[in-house]
Amino acid sequence: MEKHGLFAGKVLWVDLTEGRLNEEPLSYNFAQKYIGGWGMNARLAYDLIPAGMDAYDPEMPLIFGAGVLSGSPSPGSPKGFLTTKDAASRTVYTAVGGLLFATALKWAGYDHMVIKGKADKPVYLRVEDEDVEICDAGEFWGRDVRETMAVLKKRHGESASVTCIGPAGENMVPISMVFNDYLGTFGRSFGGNLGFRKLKALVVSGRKGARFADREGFMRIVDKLTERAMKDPHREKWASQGLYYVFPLWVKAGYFTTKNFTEVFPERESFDLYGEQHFNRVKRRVIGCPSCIAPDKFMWTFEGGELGDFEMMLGTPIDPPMSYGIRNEVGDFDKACWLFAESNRLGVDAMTLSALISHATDLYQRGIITTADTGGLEMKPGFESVKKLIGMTAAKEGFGVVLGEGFEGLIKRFGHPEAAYQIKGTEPDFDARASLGVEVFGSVVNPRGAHDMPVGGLTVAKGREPDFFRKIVSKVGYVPEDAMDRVFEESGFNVARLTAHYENWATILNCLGVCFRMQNSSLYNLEVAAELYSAGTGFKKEPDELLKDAERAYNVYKMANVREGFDRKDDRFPEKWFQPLRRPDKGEDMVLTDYFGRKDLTREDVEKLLDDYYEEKGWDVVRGVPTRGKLIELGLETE
Amino acid sequence: MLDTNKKDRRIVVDATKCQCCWICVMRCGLRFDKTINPRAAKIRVSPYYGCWPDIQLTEECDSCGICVRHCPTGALAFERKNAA
Repeated sequence: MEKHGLFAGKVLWVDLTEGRLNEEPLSYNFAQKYIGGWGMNARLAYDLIPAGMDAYDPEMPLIFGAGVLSGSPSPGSPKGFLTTKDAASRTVYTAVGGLLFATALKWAGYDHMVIKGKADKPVYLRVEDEDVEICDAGEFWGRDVRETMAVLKKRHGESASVTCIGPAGENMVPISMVFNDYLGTFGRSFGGNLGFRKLKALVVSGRKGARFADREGFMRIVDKLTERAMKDPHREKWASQGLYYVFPLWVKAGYFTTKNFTEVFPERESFDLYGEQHFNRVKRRVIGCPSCIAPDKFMWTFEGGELGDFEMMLGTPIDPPMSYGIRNEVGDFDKACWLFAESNRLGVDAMTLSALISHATDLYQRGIITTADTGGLEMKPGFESVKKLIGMTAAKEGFGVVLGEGFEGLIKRFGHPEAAYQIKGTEPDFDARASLGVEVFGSVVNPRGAHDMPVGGLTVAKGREPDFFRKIVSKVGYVPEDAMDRVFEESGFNVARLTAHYENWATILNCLGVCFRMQNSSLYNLEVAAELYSAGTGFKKEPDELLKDAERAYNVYKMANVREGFDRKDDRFPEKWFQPLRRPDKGEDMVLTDYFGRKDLTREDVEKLLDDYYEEKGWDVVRGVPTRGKLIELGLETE
Repeated sequence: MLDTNKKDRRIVVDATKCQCCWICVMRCGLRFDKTINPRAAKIRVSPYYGCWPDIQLTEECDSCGICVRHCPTGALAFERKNAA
């Protein structure tokens, strides 16, 4: 079979029940219709996950994949994927993870790996080039994430990618996570999906490398991108501070909220308790993903404090303050980090758990739930209370069982959906009352729940001038000419219509495996993406063709969830966004407005925005799902 | 273009600056095999997360400097062989 450059050309199939391993050639013609990587994962999910199948069914596949550019030196293109069904939210979604996984998979000779079945005893999967084996994992069952990583890396080499779960995943806690190479995750759930089938870990290493269809053409573009990345005036800041670089911006924007997302944490305390000085005190080492020019992941060490010495590795250093620090008011930077490290060690999603604790504490303080519901536990902010809840959630004990089920579980038991800060079971990172941009709107309509698509921070904070957006988006090139006047109004932009097109660009970045952090994603535009794809794979694509393929991939992803019953009723703004976000230290409330803060938005305005979004997608506006005509246009259905 | 006049220099490694991007491995492999080929590369970077990575130049390394030129963090540098 003719090789196609950066496609490795094979899919590995694993059946844990039968202990069967099988590899099949990748259908290049099929894969390129969905670009590859994330898009092909979406198509495989659509084909392999029947509607209504339980997340913990042995036939439910775990679909892994590598980005098209992963394994190459194209700057910041390390991303890999895991697609399956989320036990907590019931959405079918793709978790995007960094570090070594995708590079290792590609270099081992596989574009995708599909795991089905259920082992009768704990196992891990070892992939070393063509040498694939299901190995006994009895000795690490019950061990935490760090121990498991350390043992497997020692055994299989530090260059091997280790993906594993902790005790929470083994206990099939729906909000447990899958971790990569100490610093990364296939977040924000899926741990239980591995635990259910007694799959403790995957160890992947590849030495075969990757090839290009047109090496000189590909490397010419990579050289230009690399030069741009090296000259980026922000590079040093990203590489030394990571996402802490935006900490002051996010504090001022009002994203650090407390008291169940009703109040902005005071600005001065935010800087005192969680500011850069703490980050600099504990930072020991910067670590990056393969191909990253501006790495921004960190090893932190804490010494001599009241919590004893400990260390943690983290890709998103802003998360401990944002989660346990501010949502659960645990005290200070070190305490927030200790709890975050503890969650990672046990394998629980700290971000969602902190939001759930905030929600449950709110219900408790208002008398909606009592100690009879919590198993005698007083729900209150603070370190000791949160520490106990993390342990109980991971061990599936007492009230931890309820928290581990996520927002859906809490709402089912105690009602009060209006108090839950969630969209399709996940809490949004960004708050519409701080800035109604594509990050926020994208998290409302994202089929997987409240996750922002790769955004590059375009509209994270208010303050940009109206004419900025048309200019910057024209440079990237993802809004077709005939849509420009609908998307960009004289007053600025229509956030719903911009999101509709932005999702196609985000899909391209995802399919290619390009990291969404600004220092990486901002290097690329549609033309460059098409050139790289053509030179890398040998499938010649013009920019408009790549955009159409992205639309096809996104529609398949959407349809995998439409089949599960998700539609417009699920694309909801959390009720809290219609209530003021208090900001006592500033003596003001933040309310839902358009991005420029010119107009307060009502529920009717929000419904109109949703109409605009579905219309721009070419979908059924009433149901909020792709029309048959759209599916025929994309070749997903026949006339 | 590759550097010449390699006799008087060698490549030195500062692992504390290495962020494990593997760009040196990829670029070096490309020089010898025209593909991304970690086996062909004359540099190995083992991204040990416990402390600093282990970076090894093989005996076949001819100090061409392609890794030095493409290292984004300055973890690789030239040193004159007769330098103290």
